[in-house]
Amino acid sequence: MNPENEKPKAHPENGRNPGLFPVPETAQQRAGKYLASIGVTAALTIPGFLLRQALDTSTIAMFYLLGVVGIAFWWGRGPALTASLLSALALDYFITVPYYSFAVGSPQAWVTLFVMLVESLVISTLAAQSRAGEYHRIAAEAEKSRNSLLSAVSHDLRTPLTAIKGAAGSLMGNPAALSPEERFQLSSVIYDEAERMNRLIQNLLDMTRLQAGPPQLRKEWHSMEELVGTASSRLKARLASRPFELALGPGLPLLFVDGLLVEQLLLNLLENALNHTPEKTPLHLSVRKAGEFLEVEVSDEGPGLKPGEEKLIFEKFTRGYHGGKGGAGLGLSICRAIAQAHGGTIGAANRPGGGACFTARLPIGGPAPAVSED
Amino acid sequence: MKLEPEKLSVLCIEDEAPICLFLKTTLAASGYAYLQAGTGEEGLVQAATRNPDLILLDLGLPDIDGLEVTRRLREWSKKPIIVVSAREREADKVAALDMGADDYLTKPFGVQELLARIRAALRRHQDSLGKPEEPLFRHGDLEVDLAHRKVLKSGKEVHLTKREFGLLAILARHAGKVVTQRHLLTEIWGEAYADQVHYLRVHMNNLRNKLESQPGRPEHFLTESGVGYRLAVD
Repeated sequence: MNPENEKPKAHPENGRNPGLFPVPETAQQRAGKYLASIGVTAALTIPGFLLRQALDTSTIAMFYLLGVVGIAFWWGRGPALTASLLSALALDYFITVPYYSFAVGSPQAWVTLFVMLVESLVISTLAAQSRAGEYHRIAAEAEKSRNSLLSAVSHDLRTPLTAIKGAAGSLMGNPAALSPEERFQLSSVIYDEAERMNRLIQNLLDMTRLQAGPPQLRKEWHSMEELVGTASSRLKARLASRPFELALGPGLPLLFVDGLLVEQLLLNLLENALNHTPEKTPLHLSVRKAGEFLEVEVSDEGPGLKPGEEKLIFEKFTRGYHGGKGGAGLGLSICRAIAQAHGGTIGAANRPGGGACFTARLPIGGPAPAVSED
Repeated sequence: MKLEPEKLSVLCIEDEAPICLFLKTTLAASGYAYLQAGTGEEGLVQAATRNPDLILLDLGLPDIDGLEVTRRLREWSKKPIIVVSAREREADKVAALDMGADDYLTKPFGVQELLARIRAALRRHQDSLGKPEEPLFRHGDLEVDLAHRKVLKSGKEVHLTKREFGLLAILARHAGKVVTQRHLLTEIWGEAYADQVHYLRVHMNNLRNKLESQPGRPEHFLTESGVGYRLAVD
């Protein structure tokens, strides 16, 4: 494959990342570039033609050179060589005396042609190299991300597995030597660690689904009150031990979203707050309408974010502020992917009174179809 | 009343040996007789020959599809069926429920959840035999008198619209059981509205606003994401 025309289509930071790898150019795209370079040369001939009396030939040649350099940089070697040849011919035919003839009157024309050909080769090669460099850099980043995935996942799967295996082994080894209390403790370890693995696996599956190209959203009209209710029901046991204040603005409209994904977003935000704040500190969740968006805010009264963490925590495998327990640092990046997939945003900040505050904005998606009251 | 009640039996159609072992231990410890089948075909045979009181059916079986097993069981059996499947397969759950399964469990499920669902399904089945329909539903601060179309919250009467009461009545008649969105929509609004889920969202919101102390943390009207609604029972 010819690297000069390859350009990475998307930067990995733009979230969904469908193209870490360059997409080969189609024949149509290539033909387009050649045609465009012919067009550019023709366009440059017009001012040159009009000014041929006023300016000397070598100055007009600079116009062409500029075009050739640009073409070499953006469109690659083939179109640039084409443009150089055409430029030399146009310069000779229209600009150089004798006009309207290909007779090369002076060595100057030969020099111009030669210089332009060399320029286009040099520039297009340099541009291809820098593009290849960029591609390698992105590939290296992807590789790094893949490695951190592997190490995070294997660490986070093995830790609970080790605990489960160890606790089960103790229970099997010499059951008579264990007091009922010890047996209960070991069983609790197995149960809790299995639950932790379950959350991690769920997050990995969600991430895989969101990363496999633009996610297939199953959008329906949903009630945010209901989605909040389902998410808080799923965390009922953990939320029961602390004050949890809900503020759902009156008259919230239905919104057109993938219900399971938005429920997962809410669940991850709440779980994140539960994991990173001390037991018994209050949590707050509020929803309000802000223009064409519904704004969901989850805030806590824990230690808050360290400076500079506001963006970083949404990256994959970045474990949250002040340690805390949790999965592989996937929860918040899943929130971000879900918000972005819906054309929304998510952000984090510290609350003025202390603690962290996460805000997700999701587009309402237009007016919901009318529902007759009875 | 029998003095020595015969054990209720549960047939588990499941091919994973470790899960079978866990089910066997749990069910035996809770006083159920445990029957087991490793394939759909064997499950159908066991269901016919051993006549279990409840069937726990994994939807991912090695031979025939769990949905197909549900369909064939429902051709002749009214015994409760609880299907087991992973979270992402709402469509399968809905299909199984529409095909006549009574309830579902999402993998991985816990012991308490499993036993609660089994108890609820057995109780509903028992109620549906012989006894006339219970006209009163009570849970927490909610009281529904289906016969007199009266709804009380903490002892105070609450006015519901016709559709709201209709929804509540269906959920109360199937209390503790998940009722699919489609079922609710077709029964209240008609076949043409089977996909108009926004009708459900709006009316369930209204019901929650009228009958839940905290609509955002419902105690009665539980949503089963992507599947339907369930009225909570103790």
